[in-house]
Amino acid sequence: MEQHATQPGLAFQPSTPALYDFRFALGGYYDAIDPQVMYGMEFRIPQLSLDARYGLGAGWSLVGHFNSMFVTNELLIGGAFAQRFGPWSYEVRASAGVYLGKLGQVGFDALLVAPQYRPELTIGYAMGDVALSLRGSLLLMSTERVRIGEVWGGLDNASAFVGHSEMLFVENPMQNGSAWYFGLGLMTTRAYYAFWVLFPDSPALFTYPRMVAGYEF
Amino acid sequence: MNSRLASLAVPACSTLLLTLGLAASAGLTMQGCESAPDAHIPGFSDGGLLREGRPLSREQLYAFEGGFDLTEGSDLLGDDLSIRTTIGTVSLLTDKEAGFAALGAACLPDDRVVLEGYWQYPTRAESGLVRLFVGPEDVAHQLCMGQTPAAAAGLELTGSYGEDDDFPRVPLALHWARELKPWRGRFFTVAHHGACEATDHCGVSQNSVESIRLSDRIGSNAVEIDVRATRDGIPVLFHDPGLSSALVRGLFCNGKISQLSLAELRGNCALRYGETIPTVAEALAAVVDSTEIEGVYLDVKVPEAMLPTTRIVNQVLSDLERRNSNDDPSDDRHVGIVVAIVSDENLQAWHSTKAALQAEGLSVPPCLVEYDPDLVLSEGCVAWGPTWTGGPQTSEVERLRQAGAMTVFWTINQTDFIDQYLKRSMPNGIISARAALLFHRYQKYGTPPELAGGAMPAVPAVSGAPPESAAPAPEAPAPAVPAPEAPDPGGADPNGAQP
Repeated sequence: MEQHATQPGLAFQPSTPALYDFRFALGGYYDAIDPQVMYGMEFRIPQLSLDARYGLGAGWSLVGHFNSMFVTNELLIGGAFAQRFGPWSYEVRASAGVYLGKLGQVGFDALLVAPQYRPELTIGYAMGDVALSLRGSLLLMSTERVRIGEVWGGLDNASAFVGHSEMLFVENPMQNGSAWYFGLGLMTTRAYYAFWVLFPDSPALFTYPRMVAGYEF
Repeated sequence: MNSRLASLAVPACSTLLLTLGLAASAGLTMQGCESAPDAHIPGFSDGGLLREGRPLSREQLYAFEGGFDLTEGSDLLGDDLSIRTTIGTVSLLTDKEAGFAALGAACLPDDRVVLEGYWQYPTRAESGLVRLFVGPEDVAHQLCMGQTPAAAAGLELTGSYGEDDDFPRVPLALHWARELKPWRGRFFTVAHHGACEATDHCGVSQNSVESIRLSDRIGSNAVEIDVRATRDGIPVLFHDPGLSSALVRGLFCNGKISQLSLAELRGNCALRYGETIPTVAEALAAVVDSTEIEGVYLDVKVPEAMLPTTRIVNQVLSDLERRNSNDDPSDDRHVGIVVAIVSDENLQAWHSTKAALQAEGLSVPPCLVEYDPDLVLSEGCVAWGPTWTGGPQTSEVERLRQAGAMTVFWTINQTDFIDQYLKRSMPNGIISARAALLFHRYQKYGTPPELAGGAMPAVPAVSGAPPESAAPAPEAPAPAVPAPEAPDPGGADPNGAQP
């Protein structure tokens, strides 16, 4: 495990890759969003996700994250610093990016765009061939702008603090250097972050599970 | 190869167990998420002053209507607000947090007039008590003498508010500043699902009789309610096809509305705050008998509910017509009811419903089309109900206005967009779960809809007074919603304004 976490590093486990080492993760996740948030809608759409880590050496990494369900897209780029102590490790990362929502069909001519910031702390533990990573994230957004038709406006009860998440990732490296990963955790977010296209104006935070899975190479 | 396949196959057993544990935890969390939001409607521990007084009459309450500026208490209700009234209630409506105060009014033995009740922000859990006294003294005296003051100008309301059940001690003072723009029979603040979103803290369930009554008290003059049919063909108010815990409670409450008879549905299920799932007939009876709501937007979700719903609407409209045509104008009641056509499937059901009604010699109630403005005209409907997410669609709204049809957007809860739609499209109504916000922003930025081809209800003489009725012009479509209130038999004009 130590070798995977240092050469080339794993996507979620705190890693200290050497300069130029590269790790890419392709997967998806599913949010079982609180029915209250969904205004009676019964569908939930899984999201595609891409995560990347680029080694800078000395414990530092350049990290990127992208997820999309077409209507909602998030792109974040940032930096991470990790240290490993035997089976234990930690990583601090900070990312900035954009939350972009767009829907031009089924009665919608709508767009939402907002800058996004995401500080995160991950605690890792290597358990034999399995890497466990518990990651806490703060979800911050500001200055949401919404376009409906030709009209632009803001959201009532918007807040820079849109929520937090606590995720447990399990990465299972294979002999060829790739890895399967899956995870489960809880999202606690404002309704407009969970599903912006319903334009909810509740200031409350709603909790719902998130399940993730994918493949790293 | 084998070792590689083995490594690809499954994660370690310990991680599987871990996953199962997490999944169970997540499942438990989801159960917890679906409980009804906390809601606290505060009350005076001693019953308050209202019980010691004589309630003001409906006609006297009109005297409180107007735009008011706050000199104290703007932290709670903003710098200005609108006051409108309904049966037994004076409603303070503000754009600060879409807040409202619903107050009763009574004359006390010492010749003071008190307004007492509670305030609430619907999206937040906070609420509290309000107690206001009416000034100047001569206005209070007039009210206590059973008179209606000649003008609201100069009216002052001073008192206090509090948090939760605490006795109100924070100063609150407002004074009359302007007349309301005409709204009765003109602009429809349509309550979404009856009144509240599932995430709100208003203490009643959506699509309940209780929410319809509440909507009348917190700023709506029309309601949008969702209709589905039970297995035995009874149209009931319910939004979703299935009985999810987001909307109902009950150990044996599951399945779909269409799979249960009305008896089974009511035997097994209650709405989230414990109310009975109402039938359309019960809901319309509540609208007519216990509110001043002027319009009902029946969002018929399924084709099988179209004919039974339309029969009930026909019966209610016939009863109202009989009631309004007798010699006693004091019992007149005007409610416009529209049946919404929301899909092509429902349009087919509407066609067969019309044929069935005509074969029986019955009239066809007014209709509204949500999805295609051209169908509004070709089907002879009286209104278009576009979703706001398509944009203000100003030219389409204007085209329909010129053709004598109304436009009611659904469902706007966001302040910026309420303002923009009021200014750009000047619709006849907006569906919203933020009635106080919408009413007050209409008063700030709205344009009272003009009479369109004689199809629109008449302009009330004074916004605060019951408006005069008017007959539609020949060959115009029937008014979709709201024929206006009956004329005040006494001809009193509480605001003293001229038509």
